[in-house]
This record gives sequence, C-alpha cells and structure tokens, in this order.
Amino acid sequence: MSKLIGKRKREYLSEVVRQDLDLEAVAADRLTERLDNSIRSLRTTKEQRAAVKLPPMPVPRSAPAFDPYAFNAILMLKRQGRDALAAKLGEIGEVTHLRQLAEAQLIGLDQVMRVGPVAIEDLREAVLRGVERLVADRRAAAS
Amino acid sequence: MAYFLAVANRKGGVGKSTTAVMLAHALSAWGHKRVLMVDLDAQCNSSMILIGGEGWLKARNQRTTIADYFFDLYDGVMPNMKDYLVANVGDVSAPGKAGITLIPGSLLLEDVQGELYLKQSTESKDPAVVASRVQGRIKHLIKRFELDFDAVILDCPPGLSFAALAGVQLAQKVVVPFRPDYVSQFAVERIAMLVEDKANLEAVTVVPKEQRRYLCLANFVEPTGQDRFFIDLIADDHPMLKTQLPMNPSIARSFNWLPQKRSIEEKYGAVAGDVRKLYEELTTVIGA
Repeated sequence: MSKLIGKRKREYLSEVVRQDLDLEAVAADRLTERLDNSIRSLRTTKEQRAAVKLPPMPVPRSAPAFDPYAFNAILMLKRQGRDALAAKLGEIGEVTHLRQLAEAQLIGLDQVMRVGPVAIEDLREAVLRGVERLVADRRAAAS
Repeated sequence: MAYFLAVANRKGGVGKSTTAVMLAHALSAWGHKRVLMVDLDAQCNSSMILIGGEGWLKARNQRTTIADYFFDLYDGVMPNMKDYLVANVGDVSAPGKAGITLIPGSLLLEDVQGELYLKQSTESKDPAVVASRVQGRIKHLIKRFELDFDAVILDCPPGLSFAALAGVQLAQKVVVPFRPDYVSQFAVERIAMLVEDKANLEAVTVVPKEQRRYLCLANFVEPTGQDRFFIDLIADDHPMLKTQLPMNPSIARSFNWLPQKRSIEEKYGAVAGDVRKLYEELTTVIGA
C-alpha cells in the first residue's frame, strides 16, 4: 500500500469525512483542512510531534438516518395546504435532507437546487413549488 | 346469474392476466364457483396460463377462440355457443361442479373487431353509432353466458378495443392491478375515468369511493418507502384493496401451466396466503 501524501491524502480525508460524518459541505471542508494540518504536523520531528495538540474531533451525530418518505409531500399539500407543507419542510434543517426528500418523492429541482450552494430557505421554496407542479401536472394529465 | 368481474388497466405489465387467473382459481377452488374466463386480450396470456400453448393452438385450429365466437355469432348465426368453451381448464383442482371454463384468446381479435366495424358500417355512416353498436353487440355476446356460470372474469387488454370497452362496461366490478411506480398513477386515473364514464379526475373523485365500480390492487409490492409512497398517492383518490400482492417469484412461477391438477396452495406456494387474502377481501366486497 502506497503512502498517502499531498493531494491524495487530502482527497482521502475529504472522502472519509463526507462518507462517515453527516456534515454540511462547508463544515466538512473545514474538518478536512484541520485533519490534514494535524497529520502534517505529526510528520514533523519527534520533538515537535510531542508538542502537537490534536484539534478536538467532532462527535458524529447519533441522530437516526433521515427518512425521505417520513411524510408524503404531495398528500400533505393536497390535504392540508401550502402553509402546512411549508411548515413541515421548515422542520427539515439540512440541505442534504431536503434534497433527499425531493429525489425520493420525484420532486423536480433545477441543477443549482440539486447540487449547487443554496440557501435552505430557497431550497424549501423550490421543493414547495415542485410539489405544487406535480399536483397540477397530475390533475392536467387526468382531464 | 353470473357476477361479471373485469380485470383491466390501460398500462401493460401490471399483472392483469396473472390476477385474473388467480381470482378464477380462488373462486373455483375456495369459493366452489363455476367460473368463466373470457380472454379479451390478444396477447392471450390468461389462455396460456389456463390451457398451455398446445391447448391454445388446438382452439385456434378448431376456430373456437373468442375472435371466432364474436365473428361467427355477430350476425346472429346460431352455432352452439358452447362449442367455443373449453371446460375444466387450469391446473388447480376444484370440488364438485366448480371449476374454470375458458373462451380462449385470439391473436386475431383486433382484426376481427375491425371486420365487425366494417360490417356494421353498412347500416350507419356515423362512426360513433357504428362503434357503439359493435361494442353493444360484443357486450351482448359476452352476456349470453350469464346463466351458465356463477362468475365471469373478463381479462381485458391494455388497449381500448371494442371488446375491452364492452368488458369494462359489462362488469359489475373492475379490478385494476397496478405497479407502485410513477406512471401508474396516470394509468389508474385513465381507467378510473373510463369505468366511471367521467371526463376528468375531479369528476371521478366526486363519486364516493365505495360507490365506484373499480378497485385498485397494488401488485409487485416491495416493503420500501418508495412503494408505500406511490400506493398512498393512488389510494388518496381511488378505492384500494387492502390486500397487496408482493413481488415474489412464486407469482411468476404460477404462470406455468401443468397438465395435472394440484391444490391451489401448491400452485401459489409462498404467496398462497396473499391469494387467499385477496379472494376473501374481494368476495366480501362483491358479496359472492
């Protein structure tokens, strides 16, 4: 097995952090940076190594995995209206979770909303509009 | 008087023939009913399941398929209509006089319907009138068996042929099997509009679910959030059977026809319990 150094080491750490920790992209990048610096420090002299203080590791969240089918967005809109769905989406605090919900429930989002940097409020609004579009499309198809 | 039950969906590959045959076997084996299966689908899958390829070829050679029946009797010529029936079909044993009789399907059914249309068009120039008369005549021809059976199951094709429309109109209940996926909701809505004779979904949903003539049956169901999601979507607007048929190889295997009879439990193996649940729920609904 070859040594992980330089860019490869950085990529490896980034991948591990993103796979194993449920973090936002910015937080994940920051953690990768800190780990990279720490490992670089550890590879200095023995004396220096003794002096290195590792940054505190973030504790992985132990919350249960997000269920993108926990509620049916289309039925909620149909039965309880826009405000109720907006409130329910408001309970989802992670961009990744909103994206998972949209993907699972076939709610169409544009490229930026799907993968780009977005404000969570904008994403919630896009999901809401996507659900409204699905309901309207289905009604139109059956007429 | 027979109870007329259609199995229909305009989408293909949702398990219409499998469900139709399953219900025929259940009604005869557990319900001790005399069942007539009318194979209205030019794919002839229910015929294959009930009499095998060779049995079906024999019916074609003897000109005793559903297409022959419609063609020969359309003008009121009166050969013995029982000549078109194949009795005691299927590979499941049933007690006493119970059992399944089949009017075998035909690859030529669509062509024959075209010919019937041409025949009828000599009497009227209005296409709607001609279509309606062909459909009415086909309906009448199917209905003629009502005194000889307890239940008539109409295995409808995905397309909208005169025979399919006649079958859906004639049926007291229409079972609509569907796969829980994105396009199925559209397909269910279209058959619902057709059965209820409504112009759009909103008009369909005005009719209380318990008064509608159709019942949806979730088929090929897997225990996933995605399947539950789609079933919930469809159940919100349409009457839904509580029984769901699972994605299970035993159902696919039940397609195989064997020359010797066996018990229904043996035929359906791991899904025999699901078939029983479907039978019990459906017979409660239709009061059979």
